[in-house]
Amino acid sequence: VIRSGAGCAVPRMPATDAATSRKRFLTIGATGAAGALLAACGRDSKKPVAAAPAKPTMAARDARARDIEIVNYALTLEHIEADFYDQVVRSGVVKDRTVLELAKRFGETERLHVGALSFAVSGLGGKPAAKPKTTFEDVPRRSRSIRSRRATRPPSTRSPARASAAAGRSWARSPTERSPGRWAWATCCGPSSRSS
Amino acid sequence: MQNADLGAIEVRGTTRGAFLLRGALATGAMLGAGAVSPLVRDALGQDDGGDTAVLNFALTLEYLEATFYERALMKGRGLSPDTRALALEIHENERAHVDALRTAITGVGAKPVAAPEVGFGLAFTSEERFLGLAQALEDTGVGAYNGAAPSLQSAKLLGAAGSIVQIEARHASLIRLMRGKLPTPEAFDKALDRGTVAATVKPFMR
Repeated sequence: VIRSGAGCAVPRMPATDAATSRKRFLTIGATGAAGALLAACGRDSKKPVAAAPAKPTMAARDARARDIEIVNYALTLEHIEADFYDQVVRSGVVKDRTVLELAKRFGETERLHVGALSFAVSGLGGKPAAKPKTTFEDVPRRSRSIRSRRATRPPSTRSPARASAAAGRSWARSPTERSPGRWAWATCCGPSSRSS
Repeated sequence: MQNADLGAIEVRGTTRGAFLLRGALATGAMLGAGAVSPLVRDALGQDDGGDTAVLNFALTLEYLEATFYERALMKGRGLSPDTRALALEIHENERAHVDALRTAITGVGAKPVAAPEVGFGLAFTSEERFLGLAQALEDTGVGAYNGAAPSLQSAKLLGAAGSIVQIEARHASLIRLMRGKLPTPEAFDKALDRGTVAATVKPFMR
């Protein structure tokens, strides 16, 4: 396991270890993938990375195939998240400056996750899952103006799910349920506030 | 519930993985947070004893956090209503983590460690000091779980630890927001080894 006070939470396991058959979401597995992930983290790149494992057994190959499937599943989710923030930012639908800056920042983070997981799948010898085509309700496509979209869209297409989510915000009882934009974001997202 | 929005996402064009994901998202939309607790309890109950040292270390940290928020609520000075509400909610979470870990350790026939004697200096003399130490403690908790996770022998326990660590990370994000900081300063969280964690929390142990 690679550990460092400044490192990322990326464990490394020998690919031939039977223990890799365990479904470990955070365990990206093979040495190459871990190295790539660490490089993606931008730290610890000088740490030694163990040599590639010798001929894997059949069990290890099965475990690796399952790991690839799991990481690709996570990668698909990260693609959707990254795409969501990208579409929201480009649509112009968000008017609040701090919310917009936060959406940009979150999108940036999701893209880094996409990159790291793609590296991981490649390092495991797999083919990274392709970015799916996504459509998010109430996020206008960039190719259509907000004005024309509003004009052509009947009110009845508003989904019950969104309506209930909006209603839910009115009875939010605690800071974690409340929209944080009203109470704490005032200065969070400026270019000078990126320190931890 | 934000979960309800997940069911409205449309995924087209796609691989089997994406198809499965669509189903998972729809399922997630129906399952509330209440569905998670039994999952964690059952997973923690699976431990065969080999992981109890890790669990007891985690329990010590959870005790430390729970006591920290408990004292902040009792004697914290200058806390705004929002900060107080946040402390109350986080305290409830930490107490639940303590209970879950104690149950898990007892369940495998081991003995849970006692709550440590702790002190937090001047942390409760102002909101700024309270939030500053709260952030440090939450970040340490996240790093501790990330660092310990690969050494867990039980895969189910690993999943349960994952469900705890992401709550600690949400605490850290909320505290950062309260302090006017970016909630996600990095795209990847740190992993801290046990020695580093122990050294970090040592000043608060009596």
